[in-house]
Amino acid sequence: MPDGTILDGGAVYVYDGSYDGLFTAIFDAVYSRREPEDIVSGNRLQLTFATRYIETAADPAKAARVKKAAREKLGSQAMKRIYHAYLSSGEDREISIYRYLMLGFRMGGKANSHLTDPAVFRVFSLSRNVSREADKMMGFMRFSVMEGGVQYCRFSPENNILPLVLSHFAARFPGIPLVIHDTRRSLLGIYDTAGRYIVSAEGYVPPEKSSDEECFEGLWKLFYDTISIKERRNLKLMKQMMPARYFRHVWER
Amino acid sequence: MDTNEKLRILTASAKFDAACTSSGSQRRSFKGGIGSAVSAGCCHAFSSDGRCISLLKVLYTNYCINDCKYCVCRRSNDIERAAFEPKELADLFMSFYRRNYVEGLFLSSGVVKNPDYTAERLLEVLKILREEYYFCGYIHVKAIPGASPELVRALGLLADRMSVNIELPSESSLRLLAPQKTKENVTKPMAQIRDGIIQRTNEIKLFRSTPRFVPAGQSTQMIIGATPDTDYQIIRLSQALYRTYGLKRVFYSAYVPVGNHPALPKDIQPPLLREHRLYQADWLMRFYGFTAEEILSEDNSHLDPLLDPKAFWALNHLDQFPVEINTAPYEMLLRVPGIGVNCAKRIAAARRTAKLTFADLKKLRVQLKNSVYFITCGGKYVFPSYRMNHSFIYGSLTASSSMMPAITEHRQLTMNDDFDSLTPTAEERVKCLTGQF
Ligand code: SF4
Ligand code: SF4
Repeated sequence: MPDGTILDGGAVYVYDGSYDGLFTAIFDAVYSRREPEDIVSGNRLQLTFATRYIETAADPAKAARVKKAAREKLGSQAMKRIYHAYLSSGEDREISIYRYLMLGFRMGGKANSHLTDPAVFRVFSLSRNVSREADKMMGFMRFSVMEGGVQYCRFSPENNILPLVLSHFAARFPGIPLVIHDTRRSLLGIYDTAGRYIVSAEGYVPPEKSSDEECFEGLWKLFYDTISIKERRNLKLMKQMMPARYFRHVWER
Repeated sequence: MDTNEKLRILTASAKFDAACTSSGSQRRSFKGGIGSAVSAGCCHAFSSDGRCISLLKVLYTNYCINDCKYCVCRRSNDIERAAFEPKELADLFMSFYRRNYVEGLFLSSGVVKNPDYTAERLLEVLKILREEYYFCGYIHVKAIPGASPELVRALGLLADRMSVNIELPSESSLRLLAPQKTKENVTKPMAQIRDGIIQRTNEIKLFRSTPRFVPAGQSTQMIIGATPDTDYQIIRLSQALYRTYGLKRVFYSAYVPVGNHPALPKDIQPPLLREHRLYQADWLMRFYGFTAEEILSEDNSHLDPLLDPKAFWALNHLDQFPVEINTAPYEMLLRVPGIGVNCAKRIAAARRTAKLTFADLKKLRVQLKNSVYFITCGGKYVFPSYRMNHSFIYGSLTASSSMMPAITEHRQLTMNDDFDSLTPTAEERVKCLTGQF
């Protein structure tokens, strides 16, 4: 397909949405020497005029070469950062990752502290956003034990953090089969005690809750309600209601 | 009595023990809302990687042979009493854990029969969890004051964190309000846990497989506002505890009036703001290299409720400011109000590749609202420098955020200059606004 002519508006590389696919697109962009204007996954494609689309096909070997080079130049911290940025829902994630990598190839590890560069900064903040959401989510996700012993949890995260939370819980509950349901993307994260998989949730109907599940939910609710200290809660409210300027009279100094 | 009832009674008694930070402030640097752990509904602690984790916080029993005046479980208090069976408690915990309701256990207890008997019961709970259910998550257990050293050691081998509560900030308060407790009772197990941790660190150098001993360290708790002790006394004590016993954390817990002893304050609101300020001061001592004596002194013995302690310190040491963002040593960046550890790191990294301006700081998400009075970028202040005096800064920091001009570019400087030349009494206006007159 590439014929060497560069059109106005640059080229948009299209990949299949997978992590390897993204790295393949980056590989192709580097070797075709055509500066990408954007890199988008197939399902985000919006046709505009005067833009050249270049389809890329995920190729694990190409992806591995870019990953290896990136790891050597930028370090493993950066690889984790890039992976997290890739999981984010930021529309500019791919192109920011690309630019961050290019900077890394040019200046090595120094790129990691180049926070005034917009692409570097963007990758850092996308990744921070993803880690933060995953961290929070891990604390707030509640599983139910279903008929047959599977533990099921449904959630709807901002970013595509399913792979992160799935590996967290698979490591935490080694002998317990899990199903984590991302209802926003309609994906299932499955851990069957032997391996982890992510599959489409189209048409999936979760099993019924097991019979004593309600009893445990009740116990938890009881704990939750009992542990809060009403004196503290009132005061917090009071503080919100009372502007700071009154406070100086109230507090012993 | 069924598990439901027991859980209700024993959680109700456990909640006043602030063992983990009941305010969100510890993690979210200084800006967290007061009491947010309470609205989150469970008690929290921190795993070694700094993540905050939620704990099932419960007493093994609320029967107690002691009569500490500030405690709900005191013998003379007329409340419902209950006790778990070790197995019952372990099962309950595991069913919460596998549903991801909680990430760990915080187990405390009243003293039933005698300290050793109580410690044995706690030990049994931990044994079931670790050895039958192979639970390898977080367990925090109270060392019961007065229990034998063997039991303290056995608990330490199974728990991640242990704590012995010091409860009151001074010995005289302790004598008055907790007659059965002595300073010795508290410091002995503390020293033992410290030595256990040190011994383990030494042994691990010799033998690979020394058993883990309290890997998350020990902590303690102090009740704030039940006694007349000053903030200065309190943070001096914390500093001493950190130094002498190598504590990981000191927790401060605003006194909730549950006692009726004549020496205790009645009908007060728990001093949450004071608790919050103490946590901040504590944070300064642990992570920012401040000493208790730098923050407060004998004559200046209370923190200002309107200022966070770092701003409080900075205002008392204006001679050390302003700090030039592009050249100041990292340690000094850390001392600027509004600049936290992460922030200081980001600045230190970014200034290696470019000379930073205020707009850059904004991009680096440096909180300018509070720091702007204490820093220069390339020698420039945001405000004209003659306004940089104590009363202006104090007024601005404690007033609403609308005082702070939006910094988008350097034009701001000129705008401010104009504003000032038009209004010669700007200083007075500020004072009016903030009620300083
Ligand atoms: S969850 Fe708990 S420990 Fe974590 S930040 Fe919130 S209040 Fe603090
Ligand atoms: S020993 Fe502990 S539980 Fe018993 S009264 Fe004193 S503080 Fe309360």
